[in-house]
Amino acid sequence: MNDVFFTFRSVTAAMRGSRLLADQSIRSLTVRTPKLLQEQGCGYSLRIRAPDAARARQAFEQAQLRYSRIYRRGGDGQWQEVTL
Amino acid sequence: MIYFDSAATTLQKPPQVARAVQSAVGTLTGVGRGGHRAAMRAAETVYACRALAAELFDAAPEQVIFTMNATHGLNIAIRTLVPQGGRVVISGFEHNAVTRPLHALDAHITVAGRRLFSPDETLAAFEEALAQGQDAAVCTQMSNVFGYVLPVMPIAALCRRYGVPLILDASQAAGTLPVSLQKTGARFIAMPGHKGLYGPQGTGLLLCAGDARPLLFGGTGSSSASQEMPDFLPDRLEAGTHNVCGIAGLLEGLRFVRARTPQGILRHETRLLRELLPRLRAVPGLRVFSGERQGGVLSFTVEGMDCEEAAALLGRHGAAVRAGLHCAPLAHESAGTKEEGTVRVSFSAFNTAEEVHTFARLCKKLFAPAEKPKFPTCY
Repeated sequence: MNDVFFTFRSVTAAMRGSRLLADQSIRSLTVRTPKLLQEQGCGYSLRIRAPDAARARQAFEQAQLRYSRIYRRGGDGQWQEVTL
Repeated sequence: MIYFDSAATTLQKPPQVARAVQSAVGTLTGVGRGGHRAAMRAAETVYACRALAAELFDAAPEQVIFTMNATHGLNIAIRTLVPQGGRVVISGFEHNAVTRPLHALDAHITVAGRRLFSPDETLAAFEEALAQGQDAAVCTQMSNVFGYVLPVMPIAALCRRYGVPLILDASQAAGTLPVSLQKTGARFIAMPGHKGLYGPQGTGLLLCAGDARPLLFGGTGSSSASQEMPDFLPDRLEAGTHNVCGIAGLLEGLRFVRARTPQGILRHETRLLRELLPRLRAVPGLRVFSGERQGGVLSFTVEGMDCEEAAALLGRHGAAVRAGLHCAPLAHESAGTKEEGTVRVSFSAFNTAEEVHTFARLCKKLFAPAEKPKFPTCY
Protein backbone atom coordinates (compact mmCIF):
# COMPACT_ATOMS: atom_id res chain seq x y z
CA MET A 1 0.00 0.00 0.00
CA ASN A 2 2.97 2.26 0.49
CA ASP A 3 4.00 2.13 -3.16
CA VAL A 4 3.59 4.67 -5.92
CA PHE A 5 3.03 3.96 -9.61
CA PHE A 6 4.68 5.97 -12.36
CA THR A 7 2.67 5.26 -15.50
CA PHE A 8 4.26 5.19 -18.97
CA ARG A 9 2.79 5.07 -22.43
CA SER A 10 5.04 2.28 -23.67
CA VAL A 11 6.89 -0.70 -22.31
CA THR A 12 10.10 0.72 -23.83
CA ALA A 13 9.79 3.87 -21.73
CA ALA A 14 9.05 1.83 -18.63
CA MET A 15 12.05 -0.41 -19.26
CA ARG A 16 14.28 2.61 -19.75
CA GLY A 17 12.93 4.07 -16.52
CA SER A 18 13.61 0.86 -14.67
CA ARG A 19 17.25 0.95 -15.78
CA LEU A 20 17.62 4.58 -14.83
CA LEU A 21 16.35 3.79 -11.36
CA ALA A 22 18.60 0.76 -11.03
CA ASP A 23 21.55 3.05 -11.83
CA GLN A 24 20.46 5.17 -8.84
CA SER A 25 20.02 2.09 -6.65
CA ILE A 26 16.27 2.58 -6.58
CA ARG A 27 14.34 -0.68 -6.74
CA SER A 28 11.35 -0.84 -9.04
CA LEU A 29 8.98 -3.38 -10.49
CA THR A 30 7.70 -3.10 -14.05
CA VAL A 31 4.00 -3.98 -14.14
CA ARG A 32 1.01 -3.55 -16.40
CA THR A 33 -0.74 -0.30 -15.65
CA PRO A 34 -3.94 -1.06 -13.70
CA LYS A 35 -6.96 -0.72 -15.98
CA LEU A 36 -8.45 2.11 -13.94
CA LEU A 37 -5.32 4.18 -14.47
CA GLN A 38 -5.03 3.61 -18.19
CA GLU A 39 -5.74 6.79 -20.09
CA GLN A 40 -5.61 5.48 -23.65
CA GLY A 41 -5.54 1.75 -23.13
CA CYS A 42 -2.70 -0.62 -22.35
CA GLY A 43 0.51 0.66 -20.82
CA TYR A 44 3.16 -0.13 -18.25
CA SER A 45 4.04 1.33 -14.89
CA LEU A 46 6.96 1.31 -12.53
CA ARG A 47 6.00 0.43 -8.98
CA ILE A 48 8.33 2.13 -6.53
CA ARG A 49 8.47 2.46 -2.75
CA ALA A 50 6.96 5.77 -1.72
CA PRO A 51 10.11 7.13 -0.01
CA ASP A 52 11.98 6.74 -3.33
CA ALA A 53 9.36 8.53 -5.43
CA ALA A 54 10.87 12.02 -5.39
CA ARG A 55 14.31 10.72 -6.36
CA ALA A 56 12.74 8.63 -9.09
CA ARG A 57 10.93 11.62 -10.54
CA GLN A 58 14.15 13.61 -10.47
CA ALA A 59 16.00 10.80 -12.30
CA PHE A 60 13.32 10.68 -15.01
CA GLU A 61 13.35 14.43 -15.46
CA GLN A 62 17.13 14.57 -15.67
CA ALA A 63 17.09 11.89 -18.35
CA GLN A 64 14.16 13.61 -20.10
CA LEU A 65 12.17 10.40 -19.82
CA ARG A 66 8.50 11.23 -20.02
CA TYR A 67 6.10 9.47 -17.67
CA SER A 68 2.36 10.03 -17.81
CA ARG A 69 1.22 10.33 -14.19
CA ILE A 70 2.03 9.27 -10.63
CA TYR A 71 -0.52 7.41 -8.51
CA ARG A 72 -0.77 6.04 -5.01
CA ARG A 73 -3.41 3.76 -3.58
CA GLY A 74 -5.08 5.25 -0.54
CA GLY A 75 -6.15 3.40 2.61
CA ASP A 76 -9.65 3.11 1.14
CA GLY A 77 -8.23 1.21 -1.84
CA GLN A 78 -8.90 4.10 -4.23
CA TRP A 79 -6.21 5.38 -6.57
CA GLN A 80 -5.08 8.95 -6.01
CA GLU A 81 -2.96 10.99 -8.34
CA VAL A 82 0.11 12.31 -6.56
CA THR A 83 2.03 15.50 -7.13
CA LEU A 84 5.58 15.27 -5.88
CA MET B 1 33.84 -24.48 -46.95
CA ILE B 2 35.44 -21.06 -47.29
CA TYR B 3 32.57 -18.66 -46.74
CA PHE B 4 33.20 -15.30 -48.45
CA ASP B 5 29.62 -14.08 -48.82
CA SER B 6 29.13 -12.14 -45.62
CA ALA B 7 28.00 -9.01 -47.49
CA ALA B 8 24.81 -10.99 -48.16
CA THR B 9 24.52 -12.78 -44.80
CA THR B 10 27.14 -13.76 -42.26
CA LEU B 11 26.96 -17.54 -41.99
CA GLN B 12 29.40 -18.01 -39.15
CA LYS B 13 27.92 -16.41 -36.04
CA PRO B 14 29.08 -16.37 -32.46
CA PRO B 15 27.64 -19.59 -30.95
CA GLN B 16 25.72 -17.63 -28.33
CA VAL B 17 23.50 -16.21 -31.11
CA ALA B 18 21.96 -19.60 -31.91
CA ARG B 19 21.76 -20.47 -28.22
CA ALA B 20 19.84 -17.26 -27.50
CA VAL B 21 17.40 -17.89 -30.34
CA GLN B 22 16.79 -21.45 -29.21
CA SER B 23 16.30 -20.42 -25.61
CA ALA B 24 13.93 -17.61 -26.59
CA VAL B 25 11.65 -19.98 -28.50
CA GLY B 26 10.76 -21.80 -25.30
CA THR B 27 10.95 -19.01 -22.73
CA LEU B 28 9.92 -15.66 -24.19
CA THR B 29 6.56 -14.47 -25.54
CA GLY B 30 5.53 -11.07 -26.92
CA VAL B 31 6.62 -7.60 -25.85
CA GLY B 32 4.02 -5.28 -24.36
CA ARG B 33 1.42 -8.02 -24.51
CA GLY B 34 1.21 -9.05 -20.87
CA GLY B 35 2.57 -8.75 -17.39
CA HIS B 36 3.47 -12.37 -16.76
CA ARG B 37 7.00 -13.63 -16.47
CA ALA B 38 7.46 -14.78 -20.07
CA ALA B 39 6.17 -11.46 -21.44
CA MET B 40 8.27 -9.38 -19.06
CA ARG B 41 11.39 -11.39 -19.85
CA ALA B 42 10.69 -10.82 -23.54
CA ALA B 43 10.34 -7.11 -22.87
CA GLU B 44 13.62 -7.06 -20.95
CA THR B 45 15.47 -8.90 -23.73
CA VAL B 46 14.10 -6.66 -26.45
CA TYR B 47 14.87 -3.56 -24.42
CA ALA B 48 18.40 -4.79 -23.75
CA CYS B 49 18.92 -5.14 -27.51
CA ARG B 50 17.42 -1.71 -28.15
CA ALA B 51 19.57 -0.09 -25.48
CA LEU B 52 22.76 -1.72 -26.72
CA ALA B 53 22.03 -0.69 -30.32
CA ALA B 54 21.40 2.85 -29.05
CA GLU B 55 24.77 2.81 -27.30
CA LEU B 56 26.61 1.46 -30.37
CA PHE B 57 24.99 3.87 -32.83
CA ASP B 58 24.66 7.09 -30.80
CA ALA B 59 20.90 7.16 -30.45
CA ALA B 60 18.31 7.12 -27.67
CA PRO B 61 16.72 3.71 -27.02
CA GLU B 62 13.35 4.99 -28.25
CA GLN B 63 14.95 5.95 -31.57
CA VAL B 64 15.91 2.34 -32.29
CA ILE B 65 13.19 0.61 -34.29
CA PHE B 66 13.17 -3.14 -34.91
CA THR B 67 12.56 -4.02 -38.53
CA MET B 68 12.66 -7.19 -40.62
CA ASN B 69 15.79 -6.08 -42.46
CA ALA B 70 17.39 -2.92 -43.88
CA THR B 71 14.96 -2.89 -46.81
CA HIS B 72 12.04 -2.59 -44.39
CA GLY B 73 13.71 0.34 -42.63
CA LEU B 74 14.59 2.08 -45.89
CA ASN B 75 10.99 1.77 -47.04
CA ILE B 76 9.78 3.46 -43.85
CA ALA B 77 12.37 6.21 -44.24
CA ILE B 78 11.67 6.84 -47.92
CA ARG B 79 7.87 6.73 -47.48
CA THR B 80 8.19 9.26 -44.67
CA LEU B 81 10.32 11.78 -46.52
CA VAL B 82 9.62 11.42 -50.22
CA PRO B 83 6.22 12.42 -51.61
CA GLN B 84 4.85 10.98 -54.84
CA GLY B 85 6.98 12.45 -57.63
CA GLY B 86 9.38 13.99 -55.10
CA ARG B 87 12.99 14.98 -55.71
CA VAL B 88 15.76 12.81 -54.32
CA VAL B 89 19.53 12.69 -54.65
CA ILE B 90 21.18 9.30 -54.24
CA SER B 91 24.71 8.02 -54.64
CA GLY B 92 25.70 6.03 -57.69
CA PHE B 93 26.10 2.92 -55.56
CA GLU B 94 22.64 2.39 -54.10
CA HIS B 95 20.94 -0.95 -53.71
CA ASN B 96 17.52 -1.83 -55.10
CA ALA B 97 16.28 -1.46 -51.50
CA VAL B 98 16.63 2.27 -52.15
CA THR B 99 15.95 2.60 -55.86
CA ARG B 100 12.85 0.40 -56.06
CA PRO B 101 10.88 2.27 -53.36
CA LEU B 102 11.85 5.53 -55.09
CA HIS B 103 10.78 4.13 -58.44
CA ALA B 104 7.44 3.10 -56.91
CA LEU B 105 6.96 6.73 -55.84
CA ASP B 106 7.84 7.94 -59.33
CA ALA B 107 10.53 10.08 -57.72
CA HIS B 108 12.78 12.40 -59.72
CA ILE B 109 16.15 10.87 -58.93
CA THR B 110 19.49 12.62 -59.29
CA VAL B 111 22.40 10.17 -59.16
CA ALA B 112 25.41 11.82 -57.55
CA GLY B 113 28.89 10.42 -57.94
CA ARG B 114 29.35 7.48 -60.25
CA ARG B 115 33.10 7.05 -60.13
CA LEU B 116 34.35 4.23 -57.92
CA PHE B 117 36.68 5.12 -55.04
CA SER B 118 36.43 8.84 -55.84
CA PRO B 119 35.12 10.55 -52.71
CA ASP B 120 35.85 14.06 -54.01
CA GLU B 121 33.78 13.46 -57.11
CA THR B 122 30.99 11.90 -55.01
CA LEU B 123 30.98 14.89 -52.68
CA ALA B 124 31.00 17.49 -55.46
CA ALA B 125 28.11 15.75 -57.20
CA PHE B 126 26.09 15.63 -53.97
CA GLU B 127 26.68 19.33 -53.37
CA GLU B 128 25.54 20.24 -56.85
CA ALA B 129 22.35 18.21 -56.47
CA LEU B 130 21.63 19.38 -52.93
CA ALA B 131 21.99 23.02 -53.97
CA GLN B 132 19.11 22.51 -56.41
CA GLY B 133 16.76 21.52 -53.54
CA GLN B 134 15.72 17.96 -52.74
CA ASP B 135 13.08 16.28 -50.59
CA ALA B 136 15.68 13.84 -49.31
CA ALA B 137 19.18 12.46 -49.87
CA VAL B 138 19.94 8.76 -49.67
CA CYS B 139 23.45 7.39 -49.41
CA THR B 140 24.96 4.03 -48.67
CA GLN B 141 27.92 4.07 -46.32
CA MET B 142 29.65 1.28 -48.20
CA SER B 143 28.91 -0.19 -51.63
CA ASN B 144 27.67 -3.76 -51.26
CA VAL B 145 29.32 -4.63 -54.57
CA PHE B 146 32.72 -2.94 -54.49
CA GLY B 147 33.30 -2.10 -50.84
CA TYR B 148 33.72 1.59 -51.71
CA VAL B 149 33.35 3.56 -48.46
CA LEU B 150 31.48 6.72 -49.31
CA PRO B 151 32.31 10.03 -47.58
CA VAL B 152 29.15 10.08 -45.47
CA MET B 153 30.29 12.56 -42.83
CA PRO B 154 30.94 15.36 -45.36
CA ILE B 155 27.77 14.38 -47.24
CA ALA B 156 25.85 14.62 -43.96
CA ALA B 157 27.37 18.05 -43.33
CA LEU B 158 26.25 19.18 -46.80
CA CYS B 159 22.73 17.87 -46.14
CA ARG B 160 22.60 19.86 -42.91
CA ARG B 161 23.85 22.97 -44.71
CA TYR B 162 21.20 22.70 -47.43
CA GLY B 163 18.46 21.57 -45.04
CA VAL B 164 17.88 18.26 -46.82
CA PRO B 165 17.04 15.23 -44.63
CA LEU B 166 19.49 12.38 -45.04
CA ILE B 167 18.77 8.65 -45.10
CA LEU B 168 21.84 6.50 -44.58
CA ASP B 169 21.97 2.88 -45.66
CA ALA B 170 24.41 1.29 -43.23
CA SER B 171 23.80 -2.25 -44.49
CA GLN B 172 27.46 -2.97 -45.18
CA ALA B 173 28.86 -0.53 -42.64
CA ALA B 174 27.17 -1.56 -39.41
CA GLY B 175 29.58 -3.64 -37.39
CA THR B 176 32.77 -2.32 -38.99
CA LEU B 177 32.50 1.42 -39.73
CA PRO B 178 31.40 4.18 -37.35
CA VAL B 179 27.62 4.55 -37.57
CA SER B 180 26.20 7.45 -35.60
CA LEU B 181 22.74 8.99 -35.66
CA GLN B 182 23.92 11.91 -33.57
CA LYS B 183 27.18 12.75 -35.34
CA THR B 184 25.76 12.50 -38.86
CA GLY B 185 22.53 14.29 -37.98
CA ALA B 186 20.85 11.83 -40.35
CA ARG B 187 17.07 11.62 -40.20
CA PHE B 188 17.16 7.83 -40.62
CA ILE B 189 19.81 5.12 -40.63
CA ALA B 190 18.81 1.62 -41.73
CA MET B 191 20.76 -1.59 -41.25
CA PRO B 192 20.16 -5.33 -41.27
CA GLY B 193 20.83 -7.58 -38.29
CA HIS B 194 22.04 -10.55 -40.31
CA LYS B 195 25.23 -9.15 -41.85
CA GLY B 196 27.93 -7.41 -39.81
CA LEU B 197 25.88 -7.43 -36.62
CA TYR B 198 25.90 -11.26 -36.62
CA GLY B 199 22.21 -11.59 -35.79
CA PRO B 200 19.70 -13.97 -37.36
CA GLN B 201 18.04 -13.37 -40.72
CA GLY B 202 14.78 -11.47 -40.40
CA THR B 203 16.19 -8.86 -38.03
CA GLY B 204 17.04 -5.25 -38.74
CA LEU B 205 17.29 -1.83 -37.16
CA LEU B 206 16.08 1.59 -38.19
CA LEU B 207 17.49 4.55 -36.28
CA CYS B 208 14.93 7.27 -36.40
CA ALA B 209 15.72 10.88 -35.44
CA GLY B 210 12.24 12.31 -35.87
CA ASP B 211 8.65 11.61 -36.70
CA ALA B 212 8.04 8.80 -39.14
CA ARG B 213 5.20 7.39 -41.16
CA PRO B 214 4.27 3.81 -40.30
CA LEU B 215 4.22 1.20 -43.03
CA LEU B 216 2.28 -1.26 -40.87
CA PHE B 217 -0.75 -0.46 -38.76
CA GLY B 218 -1.99 -2.61 -35.91
CA GLY B 219 -1.57 -3.54 -32.28
CA THR B 220 1.37 -2.15 -30.35
CA GLY B 221 0.45 -3.04 -26.78
CA SER B 222 0.06 0.69 -26.07
CA SER B 223 -2.65 3.35 -26.42
CA SER B 224 -4.96 0.47 -27.27
CA ALA B 225 -8.18 2.46 -26.89
CA SER B 226 -7.23 4.67 -29.82
CA GLN B 227 -7.66 3.75 -33.48
CA GLU B 228 -4.69 5.94 -34.38
CA MET B 229 -1.19 4.52 -34.28
CA PRO B 230 0.70 5.83 -31.23
CA ASP B 231 2.42 9.15 -31.89
CA PHE B 232 5.55 8.08 -30.03
CA LEU B 233 8.54 5.93 -30.92
CA PRO B 234 9.27 3.08 -31.09
CA ASP B 235 5.62 1.96 -30.88
CA ARG B 236 4.56 4.07 -33.88
CA LEU B 237 6.68 1.94 -36.20
CA GLU B 238 6.43 -1.46 -34.51
CA ALA B 239 2.93 -2.81 -35.12
CA GLY B 240 2.38 -6.50 -34.45
CA THR B 241 4.31 -8.97 -32.34
CA HIS B 242 8.08 -8.55 -32.54
CA ASN B 243 10.51 -11.15 -33.82
CA VAL B 244 11.52 -11.72 -30.21
CA CYS B 245 13.60 -14.84 -30.93
CA GLY B 246 15.48 -13.04 -33.68
CA ILE B 247 16.02 -10.01 -31.48
CA ALA B 248 17.35 -12.24 -28.69
CA GLY B 249 19.90 -13.55 -31.21
CA LEU B 250 20.66 -10.05 -32.46
CA LEU B 251 21.39 -8.96 -28.89
CA GLU B 252 24.13 -11.58 -28.71
CA GLY B 253 25.43 -10.49 -32.11
CA LEU B 254 25.63 -6.89 -30.91
CA ARG B 255 27.42 -7.99 -27.73
CA PHE B 256 29.96 -9.80 -29.92
CA VAL B 257 30.50 -6.66 -32.03
CA ARG B 258 30.87 -4.53 -28.91
CA ALA B 259 33.40 -6.94 -27.44
CA ARG B 260 35.47 -7.18 -30.65
CA THR B 261 34.77 -3.49 -31.48
CA PRO B 262 33.81 -2.38 -34.99
CA GLN B 263 37.32 -0.91 -35.43
CA GLY B 264 38.86 -4.26 -34.49
CA ILE B 265 36.64 -6.17 -36.94
CA LEU B 266 37.38 -3.62 -39.68
CA ARG B 267 41.13 -3.96 -39.04
CA HIS B 268 40.81 -7.73 -39.38
CA GLU B 269 38.82 -7.54 -42.62
CA THR B 270 41.18 -4.92 -44.05
CA ARG B 271 44.14 -7.19 -43.32
CA LEU B 272 42.42 -10.00 -45.20
CA LEU B 273 41.68 -7.66 -48.09
CA ARG B 274 45.34 -6.65 -48.27
CA GLU B 275 46.33 -10.31 -48.31
CA LEU B 276 43.92 -11.10 -51.11
CA LEU B 277 44.37 -8.11 -53.42
CA PRO B 278 47.94 -8.71 -54.68
CA ARG B 279 47.28 -12.43 -55.01
CA LEU B 280 44.18 -11.90 -57.16
CA ARG B 281 45.87 -9.19 -59.20
CA ALA B 282 48.62 -11.68 -60.00
CA VAL B 283 46.14 -14.03 -61.63
CA PRO B 284 46.10 -13.38 -65.39
CA GLY B 285 42.66 -12.66 -66.75
CA LEU B 286 41.20 -11.31 -63.51
CA ARG B 287 40.09 -7.70 -63.32
CA VAL B 288 40.06 -6.70 -59.68
CA PHE B 289 38.25 -3.58 -58.44
CA SER B 290 40.00 -1.88 -55.54
CA GLY B 291 40.76 1.55 -54.18
CA GLU B 292 41.83 3.63 -51.22
CA ARG B 293 38.54 3.73 -49.38
CA GLN B 294 37.54 0.08 -49.34
CA GLY B 295 35.95 -2.08 -46.65
CA GLY B 296 35.95 -5.87 -46.51
CA VAL B 297 34.20 -6.34 -49.87
CA LEU B 298 35.72 -6.65 -53.32
CA SER B 299 34.59 -7.54 -56.81
CA PHE B 300 36.39 -9.08 -59.75
CA THR B 301 35.65 -10.33 -63.23
CA VAL B 302 37.17 -13.26 -65.09
CA GLU B 303 38.10 -12.65 -68.69
CA GLY B 304 36.12 -14.89 -71.00
CA MET B 305 33.99 -16.41 -68.27
CA ASP B 306 30.48 -15.62 -67.12
CA CYS B 307 30.55 -14.37 -63.53
CA GLU B 308 27.88 -16.88 -62.48
CA GLU B 309 29.91 -19.71 -63.97
CA ALA B 310 33.00 -18.48 -62.17
CA ALA B 311 31.12 -18.37 -58.84
CA ALA B 312 29.62 -21.81 -59.45
CA LEU B 313 33.07 -23.18 -60.20
CA LEU B 314 34.43 -21.71 -56.98
CA GLY B 315 31.45 -23.12 -55.14
CA ARG B 316 32.13 -26.60 -56.40
CA HIS B 317 35.66 -26.25 -55.08
CA GLY B 318 34.46 -25.22 -51.65
CA ALA B 319 34.42 -21.40 -51.81
CA ALA B 320 31.11 -19.58 -51.36
CA VAL B 321 30.97 -16.20 -53.12
CA ARG B 322 28.21 -14.27 -54.85
CA ALA B 323 28.03 -13.32 -58.51
CA GLY B 324 25.74 -11.23 -60.69
CA LEU B 325 24.40 -7.75 -60.01
CA HIS B 326 24.06 -8.15 -56.23
CA CYS B 327 20.66 -6.37 -56.30
CA ALA B 328 22.56 -3.19 -57.15
CA PRO B 329 22.33 -2.59 -60.91
CA LEU B 330 22.99 1.11 -60.33
CA ALA B 331 26.37 0.36 -58.73
CA HIS B 332 27.29 -1.88 -61.65
CA GLU B 333 26.13 0.77 -64.10
CA SER B 334 28.37 3.29 -62.32
CA ALA B 335 31.35 0.93 -62.49
CA GLY B 336 30.64 -0.17 -66.05
CA THR B 337 29.98 -3.81 -65.12
CA LYS B 338 26.21 -3.95 -65.58
CA GLU B 339 26.38 -6.19 -68.64
CA GLU B 340 28.83 -8.73 -67.27
CA GLY B 341 28.27 -8.51 -63.51
CA THR B 342 31.05 -9.37 -61.07
CA VAL B 343 32.14 -12.06 -58.65
CA ARG B 344 32.05 -10.65 -55.13
CA VAL B 345 34.18 -11.66 -52.16
CA SER B 346 33.19 -10.39 -48.72
CA PHE B 347 34.65 -11.09 -45.30
CA SER B 348 33.54 -11.42 -41.72
CA ALA B 349 35.26 -11.54 -38.34
CA PHE B 350 35.46 -15.33 -38.68
CA ASN B 351 37.55 -15.51 -41.86
CA THR B 352 41.27 -16.21 -41.71
CA ALA B 353 44.39 -15.38 -43.71
CA GLU B 354 44.74 -19.08 -44.45
CA GLU B 355 41.34 -19.09 -46.13
CA VAL B 356 42.38 -16.08 -48.18
CA HIS B 357 45.54 -17.83 -49.35
CA THR B 358 43.63 -21.00 -50.24
CA PHE B 359 41.06 -18.95 -52.13
CA ALA B 360 43.74 -17.09 -54.10
CA ARG B 361 45.41 -20.38 -55.05
CA LEU B 362 42.02 -21.71 -56.14
CA CYS B 363 41.40 -18.66 -58.33
CA LYS B 364 44.80 -19.12 -59.95
CA LYS B 365 44.10 -22.78 -60.58
CA LEU B 366 40.63 -22.22 -61.98
CA PHE B 367 40.93 -18.92 -63.80
CA ALA B 368 44.51 -18.52 -65.07
CA PRO B 369 44.07 -18.89 -68.88
CA ALA B 370 46.37 -21.91 -69.31
CA GLU B 371 44.40 -23.89 -66.77
CA LYS B 372 40.90 -22.55 -67.34
CA PRO B 373 38.55 -25.46 -68.19
CA LYS B 374 37.59 -25.34 -71.87
CA PHE B 375 33.99 -26.21 -71.17
CA PRO B 376 33.15 -25.07 -67.69
CA THR B 377 30.33 -27.18 -66.39
CA CYS B 378 28.16 -25.52 -63.84
CA TYR B 379 24.78 -27.04 -64.41
